[in-house]
Amino acid sequence: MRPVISVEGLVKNFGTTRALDGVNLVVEGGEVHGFLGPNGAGKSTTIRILLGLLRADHGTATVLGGDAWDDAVELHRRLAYVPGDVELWPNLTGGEAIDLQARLRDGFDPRHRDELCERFDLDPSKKGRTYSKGNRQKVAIVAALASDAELLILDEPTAGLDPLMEAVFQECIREAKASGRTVLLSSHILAQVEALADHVSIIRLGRVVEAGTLAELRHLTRTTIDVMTSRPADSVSQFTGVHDLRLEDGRARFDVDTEHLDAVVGHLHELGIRALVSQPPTLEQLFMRHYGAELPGATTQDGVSR
Amino acid sequence: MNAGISTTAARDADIARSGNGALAGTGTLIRFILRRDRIRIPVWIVAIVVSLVGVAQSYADTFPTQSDLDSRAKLVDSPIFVAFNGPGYGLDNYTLGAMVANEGLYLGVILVALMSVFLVIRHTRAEEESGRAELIRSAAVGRHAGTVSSIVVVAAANVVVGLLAAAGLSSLEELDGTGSLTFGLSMTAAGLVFTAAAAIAAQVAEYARGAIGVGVAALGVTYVLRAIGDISETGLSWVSPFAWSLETRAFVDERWWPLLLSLSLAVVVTYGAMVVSARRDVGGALVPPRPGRSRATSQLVRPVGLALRLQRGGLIAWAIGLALLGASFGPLVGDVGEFAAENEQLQDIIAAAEGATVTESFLGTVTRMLALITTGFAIQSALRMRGEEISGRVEPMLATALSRQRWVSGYLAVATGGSALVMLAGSMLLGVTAAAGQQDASLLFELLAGGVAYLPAIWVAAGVVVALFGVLPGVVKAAWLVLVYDVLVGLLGAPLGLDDSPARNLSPFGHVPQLPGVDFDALPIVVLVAVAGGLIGVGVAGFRRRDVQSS
Repeated sequence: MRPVISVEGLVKNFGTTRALDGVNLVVEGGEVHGFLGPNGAGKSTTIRILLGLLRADHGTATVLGGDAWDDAVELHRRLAYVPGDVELWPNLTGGEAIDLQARLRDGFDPRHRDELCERFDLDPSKKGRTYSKGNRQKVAIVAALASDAELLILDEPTAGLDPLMEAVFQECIREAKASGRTVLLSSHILAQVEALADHVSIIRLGRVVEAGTLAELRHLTRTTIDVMTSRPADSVSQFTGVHDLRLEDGRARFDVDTEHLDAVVGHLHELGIRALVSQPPTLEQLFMRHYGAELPGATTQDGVSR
Repeated sequence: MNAGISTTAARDADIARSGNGALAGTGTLIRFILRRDRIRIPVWIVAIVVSLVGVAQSYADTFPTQSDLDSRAKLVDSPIFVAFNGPGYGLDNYTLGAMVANEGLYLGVILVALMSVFLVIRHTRAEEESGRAELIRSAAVGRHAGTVSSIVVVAAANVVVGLLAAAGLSSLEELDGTGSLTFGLSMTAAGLVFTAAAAIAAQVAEYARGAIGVGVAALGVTYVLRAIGDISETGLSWVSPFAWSLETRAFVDERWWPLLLSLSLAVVVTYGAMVVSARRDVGGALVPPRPGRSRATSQLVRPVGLALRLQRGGLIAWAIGLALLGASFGPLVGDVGEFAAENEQLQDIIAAAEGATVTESFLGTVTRMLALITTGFAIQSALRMRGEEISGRVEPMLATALSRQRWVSGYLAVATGGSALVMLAGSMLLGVTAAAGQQDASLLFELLAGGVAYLPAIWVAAGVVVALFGVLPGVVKAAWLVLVYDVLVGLLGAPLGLDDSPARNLSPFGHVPQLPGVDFDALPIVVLVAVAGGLIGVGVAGFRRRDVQSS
């Protein structure tokens, strides 16, 4: 089966700034693909090229078997898009804005729309100017989910949603996946990507630097161990692959490279394990490993995302 | 711990010093506005001063001798001129100074009024609409600081314009210093009235565009009230700042007291704006929002439907405005004809100049004015496309199965069809009132035809917007220059001596037959339609090739 999205060597310059520097990205049918990266890394630029809103300087972008630029209108019948920063018409209601977009795609279902409004607790009779940031975001999410688009392209879709709505959103994405739809999910919320995505691509400075399943990526990083042993565990520091060891009152906490996990746990067993908590690496750690050193505060810094 | 307390105390002292009242932060905001508009305000000032001095200079060149001026004076005394320029003064011994004041002061007043309205709204309602005002108001900034700082800056700009215009005019040989200063400060006084009017408009309307509409409408209403008052000689003119400025009688027998009327009104209206502004919510307006439909009609989903819905209110307002304007000038046609019948000499001047009767020439000029205003609508309407793009609202639309050319076609239909509606509303009411006054029904059809003849020229302006939008979107607002040029050629062409120069051909308005009164010529109409079509084609092709931009 051909991938739903296939991007090769994508380059885009804005004046003298190089926004994309050879992006490669493959999204297979039926998967939820997490697209991660700090502000300004090129996530939104890549997505705008996929939508035929921007024209790539070099490289190819194929979506649902068609060219993202040349076949834009035909492709857009079959995909739905949620921008990260939703702007509504001040004097149109949310319901009108939803219909406006959803009816220009294949398979718009008004009943499904009403059901989604209910689930997201959205009043569609309010004028655009009266919606808060979170409610504007809901309008775009409902508009995207109300049609039966084969591909959902979501660019930080839940910015501004409260945790309750975040849960509803995750439920909707799981349902979309269960019905065989493909999702490209660009996000800053790592827990969200972790909960939803099968595959992840990490983009940095206009290039995809890491791609694979979450399991594969985890393998490249460290597990956090929090253990209480009968005998003091200072000797753990001798093992290769152990980092950030902290010892107090018969309790040891440290990170260990996943490939050395077996040897270290074997040694702990000899010391007499009384309690053990092992945490797999979070996406956050993965992310910070890529950006932490070079870009302090990369996940929180403010900036214009392109 | 101690250090912390003393820091807090110092901060309290700071707040006390900077003023805790409703005006706190005004000085900072004034500097902020000056910084933001360090280019914009000087451009307005220089453009206004240069246009006025240029007009004065061209009068000097076009009417070099006293006999030129004397025959001009007879024209100025005619109802056509009275309607547009106010009751003439100093006509017995018409000098260049009297001519500049009689025929140029209203241009100056209109320009400073527009400058004041645009600048005040930009720093008040537009700031609230964008949400930036909230950020500012969350700081130690008083309730009135926003309004007052904008008014102070714009008032100062008006004073500078007045003084520079005075300096520029007095540099011409024939114009004396006192007259020039009176002229300049008469402009300033009117500018202050419209500065205050804009401050009120910013309270009433929720959107900057609407507030500008209210401000410009105030300008139009005061101009028309004056025209009716001057023609009917009822004293109605005395409610209008236009009359107050002209009544200073610059360059003839100067008097200052009429400006006190302007200043008093400006102060009272400013006070009103501050009272309203202090009572309402930041970002709110006088009318609370109501819920609407929770579903889109099938009409709205079509590209034209959305473009029309977004501009419906504005379109109706423009059409009513033009209709009122037409209805104000139509009834004057009787007075104009009567006057001409008594004055054979005038009849000769106008007939010789235009090849038409006085009545026809008057109606032709009014039609031309209506067409110029409609051009403003067409440009503004077509610019909506850029607004939608910059705001980011176009992206989700173009991410649906809506092609770029179909999206453009919606806005284009409103700009062209809407301008036809606006123009015909004006021509229709002008025609009905003129035909009723003259008891001549054929006049209605002639005036409607005259209005239709201008549509291609109006569409060329919309075409320029589309072409720039597609090819050079960054400078799309330069399309307003088309209107400026059309005004120069269309209304001021004769006194500026542009009528016989090739420069006239550059304006679409230079090619439209001024109906009624001249023979209809289809060729220029056909050519203008083709030019508009070509510009639109270039724009659409450009937009299909370029990146969609957003803020």
